Amino acid sequence: MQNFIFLIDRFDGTNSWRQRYEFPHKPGMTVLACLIHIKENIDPTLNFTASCRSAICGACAVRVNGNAVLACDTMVDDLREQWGEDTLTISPLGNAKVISDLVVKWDEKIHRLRKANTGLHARDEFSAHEGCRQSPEDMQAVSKQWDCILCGSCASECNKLSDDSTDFLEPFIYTHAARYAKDSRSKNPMEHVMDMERSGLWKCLHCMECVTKCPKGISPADDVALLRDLAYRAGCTEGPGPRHAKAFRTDLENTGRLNEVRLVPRTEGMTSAATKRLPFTLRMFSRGKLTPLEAARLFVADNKRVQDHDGLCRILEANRK
Amino acid sequence: MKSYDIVIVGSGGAGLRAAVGALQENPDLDIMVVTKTMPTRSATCMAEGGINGVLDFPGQEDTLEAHSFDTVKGSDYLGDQEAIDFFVEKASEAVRETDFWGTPYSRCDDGRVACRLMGGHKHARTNYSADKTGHILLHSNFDYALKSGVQFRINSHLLDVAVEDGVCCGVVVRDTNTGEITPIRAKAVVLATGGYTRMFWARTSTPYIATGDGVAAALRAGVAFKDPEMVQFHPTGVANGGVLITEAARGEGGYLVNNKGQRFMADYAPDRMELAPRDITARAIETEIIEGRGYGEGLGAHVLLDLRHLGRERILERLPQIRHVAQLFENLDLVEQPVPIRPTAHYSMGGIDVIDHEHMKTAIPGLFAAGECSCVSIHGANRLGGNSLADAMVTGKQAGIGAASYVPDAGLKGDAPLKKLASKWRDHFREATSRKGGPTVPELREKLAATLWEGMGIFRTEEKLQAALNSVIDLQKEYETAVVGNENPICNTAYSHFLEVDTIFTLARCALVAAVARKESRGAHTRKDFTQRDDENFLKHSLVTINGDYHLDYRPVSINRYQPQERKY
Repeated sequence: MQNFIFLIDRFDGTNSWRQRYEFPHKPGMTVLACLIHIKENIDPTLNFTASCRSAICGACAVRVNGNAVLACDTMVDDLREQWGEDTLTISPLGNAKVISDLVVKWDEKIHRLRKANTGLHARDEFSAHEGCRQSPEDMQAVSKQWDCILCGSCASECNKLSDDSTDFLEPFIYTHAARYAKDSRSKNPMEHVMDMERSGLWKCLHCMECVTKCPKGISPADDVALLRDLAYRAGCTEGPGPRHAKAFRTDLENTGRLNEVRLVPRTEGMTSAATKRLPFTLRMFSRGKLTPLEAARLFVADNKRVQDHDGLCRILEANRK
Repeated sequence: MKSYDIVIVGSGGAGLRAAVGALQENPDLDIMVVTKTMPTRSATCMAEGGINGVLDFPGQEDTLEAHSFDTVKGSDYLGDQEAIDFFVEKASEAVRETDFWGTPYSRCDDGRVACRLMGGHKHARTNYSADKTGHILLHSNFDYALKSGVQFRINSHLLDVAVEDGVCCGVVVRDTNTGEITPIRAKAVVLATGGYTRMFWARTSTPYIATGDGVAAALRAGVAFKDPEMVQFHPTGVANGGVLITEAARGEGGYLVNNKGQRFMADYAPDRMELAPRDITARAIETEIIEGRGYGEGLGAHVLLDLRHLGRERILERLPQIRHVAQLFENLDLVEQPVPIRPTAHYSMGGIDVIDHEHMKTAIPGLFAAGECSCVSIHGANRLGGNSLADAMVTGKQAGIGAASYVPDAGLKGDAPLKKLASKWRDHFREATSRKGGPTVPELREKLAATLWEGMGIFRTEEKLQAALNSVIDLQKEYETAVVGNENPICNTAYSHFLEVDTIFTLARCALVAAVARKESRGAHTRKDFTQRDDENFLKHSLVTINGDYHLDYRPVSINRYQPQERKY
C-alpha cells in the first residue's frame, strides 16, 4: 500500500493553512491513531481532542473529505477504499467555531442545548424517594435518542445551520428534547416541545445530513418530525411551518401527490405567495421551466388521484391517531 | 479576579452530581464547574455494567447490610466500614433519585429498574441501562445539571489548588483555548478529576484525559494521597493499548489460550476455567506471559482470547461490540481469528485522602473531593463491579452538600497565594515551551508505562518495586529537560500533555513508595515475596505526602462491624 497522506486544515489562532503529512502505511490504523502518530512523531503543534478511544465519549469527531466521522471509530483503509484515493483531507467539524486546527468550541453549543429543557420533570405519582415505574417498551421508545454522545457530527454538515444558525439549533438538541418529550415518565412533555417550536423546529430542510452523519445511528430528523407532531397536536397550527405541513397532508389526502403550485399559497397565504414569489415565478416562465398555462392548469384543475389512493388515506388516518 | 462560592473541578459523574448537589442544598450559591474538556468526555461514560444499589422491593432477599458486607469483603478489609454502611444506603437512594431525574434504566416487566448479578456480589443489585449504564448516567446527570442552571467553564486545565493560612482559597487554571493562566477565588473547591491509571499509559482501559490532575494538585497543596498502590487490573484488555474486552466474552464461552494452544485456565481454576474471578484470571494470564507461554515481548506481550468456536451467528448476535473493538485495535475479525489480550489497569482505588465521608472533606478546610480521584476508602484494596458509578453518584452528591454547607460560614480569602501560583505557572509555560533538544514527552511517558508494568503491575516484589522506584526517580530528573515542541499559547495541547505526564510521574512515585512498604498481599496489591494478607501489620491505609521529599504514613482502617476473615469466594 502507498504511504498515508493527510492534508490537515491548520489554524494557530491567527493564520490558516493546509498542511501535508506523509507517513508509512500500516494496516488497521484508525484516523485517531494516525493523528496521534503525526503529533507524537512528526509535529507536536498539531491540535485535536480525543478521550475514550472507543466511540462513546464523542471527543474526536473531525471531517474527512468534508464529512464528519469519529476519528477513533473510522479505519483509514476503509476511507481510502471509499474515496478511491490515498490522500485524505482532515478538517475541523463544520458549523462550529474553530479554536485551533481540529479543536472546536463547545461553549455556545452547551448554551443552546439548555433550550431543550433537558432533565425529566417526572409525573406526580413518582418521587425522588421512590423512583419511577416504566414498562420495558416505554423505555425502549426513548433508548435510541439516549445513544447521543454529543460529538457534534450531526451539526457539522447541517445545511440549515450553514445557511443561518441564528434561527435553528444543532440537530442533537432536537434529539435531546425528543427523548424527554417522548418519555412515559414525563409529567409535561410539552415543556420540551414548545421552546423547540420557537427555536427553528419548522425550519429543518430535510436534507438528512444529520441522519447519515450520526455515528450512533440516531435520526435527529425523525426527532424533529416527532416534536413537530407534538407541537401541531398541541395547537401550534399557525405560521408557515405548520401550514406547510398541513398543505402536504391535504395534497396527499386529496390526490396522493404533491402539487407544488398549490403548496406555496397554502403555506404562505395567497397574498404573500403572489407578491413574494412573483419574481421567482416570472424567472421560471422566462427560463422555460413552466408556462403560465401549465401553472394555471396545475393550480385549478390537476386533481387526478394516484393509484391506490384509498390505501394511502388509510395509512394517513392510522397515523393521525 | 473571578470569585465564586464553589468551584468544582471535573465534569464526569461525580463533578456533575456535586454541582447539582450543592445547588439543591442552596440554590443561591454561585457555582462554577471548571473542566479540562467538554463535559461528558470522562471515564464515567465508559462504564458498562451498572450502578449498585439495593432497592427494597417486596420479596427481594437483598439488604443494605448484605451490600455493605460484600463491599467490605471485596475490599479485602481495607475499606472503612462506617463509610461503607453510609455509602450503600446512599447508593440505593441514588438509583431512585436518578430514575426520578430521567435516567432511562432498563426495566423489568412490572416497571421496576432491572438489575443484574456482578462478580463478588451475593445478590443481583447492579441496576443497569443495557450495556451502557455509565454513558446513560453521565448524560442524564449532565442534562439535569443544565436544567439546574449549573455553569461551565470548559477547556480549563487545573494547575494548582491555592491555600492560605491552611485554608483553601481557590484554584489556578489554564484556559487551553487562549493559553491564559487564571487564578479563580473560591470559598470552597470540590475536586472531581477522576482516577490516575493513565500512569500505565499503554496498558489502561481509561480515557486519555484520566491523568489524576486533581490528586497531584491536592498533593502539592499538602493533602495526602491515600492507598496509591491500589490499582485494579482487569484481565482482558486488547494487547494494543488496553481498551476493555468486556467480561461478556468469557461469559459467552470464550477460551483463553497460550502459545502452546492450551486452555491454560485449567492450571489455575480447573472448575470455573475462563469464568474464574477477575483477579485470578488476570494473574493467570500474566503468569503465562512471564513464564514464556505468551506471544510477543515487552508491553506488547499477550495471550489469545479465542471465540471462533462460538460461531459467526452467535458472535454477531451476542458480542457485536467486542468484535468491533477487536477490529478497531487489532485489525482482525474475531469470527475468524483469536484476539490478542492482556490485563489492563482499570480503576484507581486510592486517591485524595478524605477524612469525613459524609461531607467528603479533606484535611484542608474548604477543599473537598469526590469520585475516583477521592479515597474514603470505600473500595479498599479492590473495587466490586457496579460500585464505581455508585461511588460517583454518592460521593459527588455528598461533596456538593459538604461544600454548600461549608460556604455560609467561610469568607473569600486573600488573593495573594493565587496570584503567586499563577505567576509561577506563567513562568513555567515560558520556560518549558522554549526548551530545545531534550527527550520528548511521549518517549518518557512510554518508558514510565513500561517501568510501572514491569515493576508495579500484577505481580510485585521488593526487588522489582525498588528498581521501578529508582527508574522513576531517574526518569523524573530526565523529565525536567523534556521538550514540549510548541510555543504557541493558543490551544497548546502539547503543553497540556506535558503537564499531564508530569502529574502521572508524581503519582506513580507515590504509588511505588507505598507499594514497596506494603509487605503483604491484599486485594489488587499482589506481592510474590509476601503472599499472605498481614492484618497485624498492614490493616491500615497508606498515606503519601510530598514536602520536598515523599513521606509515607499510615492510618488505621475503621472497623465497626465485620472482623477480617479470609477472602474466599
